Amino acid sequence: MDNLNKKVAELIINNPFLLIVLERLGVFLGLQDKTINDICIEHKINLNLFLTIYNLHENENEILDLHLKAEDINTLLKYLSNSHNYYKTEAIPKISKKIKKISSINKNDLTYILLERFFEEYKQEVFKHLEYEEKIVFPYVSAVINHNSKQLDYSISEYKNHHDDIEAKLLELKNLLIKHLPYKNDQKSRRDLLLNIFHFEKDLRIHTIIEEDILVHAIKNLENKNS
Amino acid sequence: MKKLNYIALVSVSVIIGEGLQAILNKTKSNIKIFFFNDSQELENYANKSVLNLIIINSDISEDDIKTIQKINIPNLKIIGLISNSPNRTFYSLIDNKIYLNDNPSKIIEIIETCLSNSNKSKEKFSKNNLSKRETEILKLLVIGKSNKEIANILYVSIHTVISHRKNITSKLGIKSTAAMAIFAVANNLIDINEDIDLI
Repeated sequence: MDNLNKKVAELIINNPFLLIVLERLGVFLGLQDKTINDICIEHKINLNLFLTIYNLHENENEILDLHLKAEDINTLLKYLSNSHNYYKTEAIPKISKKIKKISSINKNDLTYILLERFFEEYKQEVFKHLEYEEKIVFPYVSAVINHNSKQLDYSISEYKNHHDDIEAKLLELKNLLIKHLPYKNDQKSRRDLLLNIFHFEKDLRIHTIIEEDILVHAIKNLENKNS
Repeated sequence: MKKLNYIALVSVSVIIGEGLQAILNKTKSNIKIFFFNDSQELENYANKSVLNLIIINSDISEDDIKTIQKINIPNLKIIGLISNSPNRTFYSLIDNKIYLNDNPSKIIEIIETCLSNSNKSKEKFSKNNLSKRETEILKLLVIGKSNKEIANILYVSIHTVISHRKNITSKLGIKSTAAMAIFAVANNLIDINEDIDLI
């Protein structure tokens, strides 16, 4: 695989999104000429797992059967928790702030008061969703890889049923901002807001694939083995 | 020169119709008024002519209301003249209302505001392609009515309401009533003073 010897710094230059991917895996800047292979060895990251996450960000959605071991699932959990933190402390507050900014440009305009409220409700919905994963799913996953899930009355298929769609409202938000809200001297801040929403949406979409297709699949395999 | 607006007046009572016409002639807006005794004549007229505003007296019949509901002209505004106690269908049809004992200057003010809104919304609204019925349903959804309640108000089946909803969603790219409320307010589809506490 020629990917192995690609320099990570160059990958970032070609796809800036990888900055945040690497950060979530505990790989920080100052990368010198290290290759993917170097980074994976240094940080004990399963190479195939890394390449799969990388490919998802290159819009390639093929998921290989990864045969993940306990330590790889721990890496995955770290990646997902770090993503959650990023959403809660950076991505979502940033969007909130930008909506408030537009609202302040269009002072007392009910449309924007409602828009603020709309996003606030969405935010609560997403936070609830993330909290469920952090309090129920991730501890369960840890229990499965440590072989003490028997006392927990839960299975990963329940998670799949519970995994609701948190992207639909972002689409509505985009349509409102792009199509329906009349222009009111707010082009710059509205464009800025939209670019942040696009970025967050792409991030969430890949996040969902990682959870549903990689994590759930790996845990199902372990559940079968354990039982 | 001010834009010429075409206004249709529908009233069973000729006294009220002629009286209102006399008041409207005092406005400085550039208008042309047509008076109709029943909705059939209005429908024939609307099919082949320009129309910006319909003013309907609430003394018209249930059948007349149904005929007027069918008129599908983009940006058309409808003002109700409340002369008796109209039912909910009548209210769902109208964008604004005037009362029999309102004084002439107030009536003119309401009509002028309505006309200027209809001209303004033309630019914003012409590309959304919502039919009059879809707009009506969107407004009812926004003020919190359920599919079933909407079906009762508009005398249609619940399936019809659901199919309209699907069309609204595919035309606008929005599905939740919260997003529809934002759309409705941004496009002046609901009267903020009257409906806002319901949102």
